[in-house]
Amino acid sequence: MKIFRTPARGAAGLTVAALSIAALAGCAPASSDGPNENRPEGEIHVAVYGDAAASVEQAAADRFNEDSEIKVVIDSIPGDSNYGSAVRTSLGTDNAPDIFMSWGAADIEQLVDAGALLPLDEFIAEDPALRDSFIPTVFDEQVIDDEAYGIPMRGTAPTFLFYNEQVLADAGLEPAQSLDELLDQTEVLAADGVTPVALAGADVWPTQMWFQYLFARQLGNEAVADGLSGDADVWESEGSRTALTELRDLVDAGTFGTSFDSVGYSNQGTTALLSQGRAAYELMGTWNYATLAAADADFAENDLGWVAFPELTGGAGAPGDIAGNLANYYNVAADTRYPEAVAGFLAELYSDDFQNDQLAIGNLPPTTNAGELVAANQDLDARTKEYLDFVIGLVEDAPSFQLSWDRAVPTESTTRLLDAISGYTNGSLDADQWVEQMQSLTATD
Amino acid sequence: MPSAAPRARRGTTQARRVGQHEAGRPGAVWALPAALYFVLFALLPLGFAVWLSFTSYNGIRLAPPRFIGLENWTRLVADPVVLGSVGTTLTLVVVAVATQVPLGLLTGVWAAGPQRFRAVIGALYFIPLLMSTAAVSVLWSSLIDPNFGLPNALPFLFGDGNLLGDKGSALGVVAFIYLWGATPLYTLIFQGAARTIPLSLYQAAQLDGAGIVRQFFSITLPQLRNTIITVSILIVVGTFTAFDIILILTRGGPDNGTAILPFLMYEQAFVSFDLGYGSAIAVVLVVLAAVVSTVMVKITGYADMAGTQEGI
Repeated sequence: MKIFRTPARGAAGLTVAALSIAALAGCAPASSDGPNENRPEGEIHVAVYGDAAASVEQAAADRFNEDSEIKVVIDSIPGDSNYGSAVRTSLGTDNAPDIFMSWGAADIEQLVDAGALLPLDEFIAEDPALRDSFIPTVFDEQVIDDEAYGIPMRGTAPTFLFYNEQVLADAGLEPAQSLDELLDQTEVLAADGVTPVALAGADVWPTQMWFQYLFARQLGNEAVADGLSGDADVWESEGSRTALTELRDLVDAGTFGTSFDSVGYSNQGTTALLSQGRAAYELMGTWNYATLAAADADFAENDLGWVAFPELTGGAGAPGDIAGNLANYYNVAADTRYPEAVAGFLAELYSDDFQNDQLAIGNLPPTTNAGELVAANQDLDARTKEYLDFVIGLVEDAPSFQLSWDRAVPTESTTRLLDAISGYTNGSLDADQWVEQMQSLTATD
Repeated sequence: MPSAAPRARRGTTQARRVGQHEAGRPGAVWALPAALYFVLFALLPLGFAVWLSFTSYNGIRLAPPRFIGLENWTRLVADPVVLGSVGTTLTLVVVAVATQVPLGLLTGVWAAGPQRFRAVIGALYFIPLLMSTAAVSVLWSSLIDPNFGLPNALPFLFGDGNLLGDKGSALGVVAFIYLWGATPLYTLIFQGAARTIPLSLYQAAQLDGAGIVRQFFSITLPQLRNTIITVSILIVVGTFTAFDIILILTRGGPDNGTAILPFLMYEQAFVSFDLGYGSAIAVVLVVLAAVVSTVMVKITGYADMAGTQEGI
């Protein structure tokens, strides 16, 4: 065991290590100028985030490979928080993926600074549909310093309230249209022994969704975006304080029950609460439909309802503003060996085949013709169509779309953001401390 | 190997005394594979981590580590999260030793006895050893769910079941799962050690009228002294590198209440992609573990490993 080494031996070891590091450091870093001829010949490697949606990307690769000499190889990386580090640490090596996925601008900023990403403007000049097929606000998220770096893919994922129709009906209630109504319903539902709103506080990011909407309603999405990019005044403004008070009121009224910090989303905790009728509402993203349907198809078919986040009286936010994940993006390594073939594969992302495959798994593609495709698609069942139409309406009618905070702040601030979110909700941070924390973690040096 | 024999002959007086054991052994050359392995996979990364702790590096090869002197270290000594984490880590280590050693000792000594059904119960008891810690963590995250798990079934014991919402209870849950998952291994070690205690000692004690409790404290416990020390060190080292349960179950929460140093290191290096700062935390962890282990070795006389059966 190394901890039993004597100091002298340890020092010798460190010297060896230091020498080796010096030798390693002497190796020239891989250049990002132009194609890297050491990459696999005749292949483009795509690092796919290995979850349920990966099959759609595999199908796209299969279609592309039918007519292409350069073959797309799908490398599935386990779909969890390690995806980012797996991709990041491989960039610059001969084995790095040519194409990989990201979530927003903050995700790729460091990669752009390091020159690891290929600007896609030349691709777009050749094939304008690579830009024009997508909803402009979604596409523009990864335009950095006037250069486009990502092509949107997978689904647009705003968050909204899911509810159990049966639970509300039993309590004689209609879906809440305002925050006051939600607070009133809390009392009735709690008296029935039901958790009014299922909240997966153990995972923290679901709690963040409540902050996003209350701040959207009180401050407006533009002010929130300013705050996230370093405007300290936003966080101590009156609207911010009001949003915090509202959140405190919800927690204190028992809207989320008392044990939400121990309830998870990843272990299906809230999924079971809502589908088994032990909770009335859950604020979650579009993907929750697939999750609930997988857990209890009967419930998703008959008793699941959905409604936009309640409006507030007062507040500077525009009615209908939404928050959530804009989309995912495919990015391209700066030293890809076959840029033309990569451009060809990216064109798959706006093809009808790719979009219909996304619809089939409940993802709403971030394209301008998604609505038409839903209407024309004969394979979707009525319930899924109804759901997708609701999401399309929500997105189309929204004056603005607030990107999830943990995808908007710089990568190095993510954990501090989540600490602030959970700290305020569980009472270990008061409003002043929360404001201070947000100002500190969003501050730009 | 040709150099083997002469080396063996150049042994010390002590080595010659145990000549049988030394016969045909080429000394240092035999240790080469292990030594190389150790240098490559322990010392080299450790040295690399020390170097990284003086740099700013976000994990992108195209933007190599940039030397920033003591910046990470000045940040670290003033970071309340790191200081809190050192406290949490040491607390978990103390709790782990204080619970796992007694339980492992008692069950191990019991399992070494001749009772009926011992093998069956023992086999059941060892089941956690067969499961990966990740699986154990997922299992327990469902078991302690406040709405569908044990807390819901036993409200008189768990109240509203918000076990992961409070720093103390969350750390307690983590310590309990380690206790549940790791103790069978120590039971096994204690069982083996207890079986090597000569029966003649117990027979003599019985003749002198010693009861079972007196036998345990006057014979079993002293005889197992070295095993207790070994197990304690294993637990200390194991707990210092514990990570999986915390990653899956609590993610360091609530309010960093379960964020022990290995988790904090992971979070900084692979969630925030601040590999320089993460490496500084890693170095703190290595130093802390080395200090604690060294102190334990010194205090307990582990290095001497004096026998417990002289004169038997």
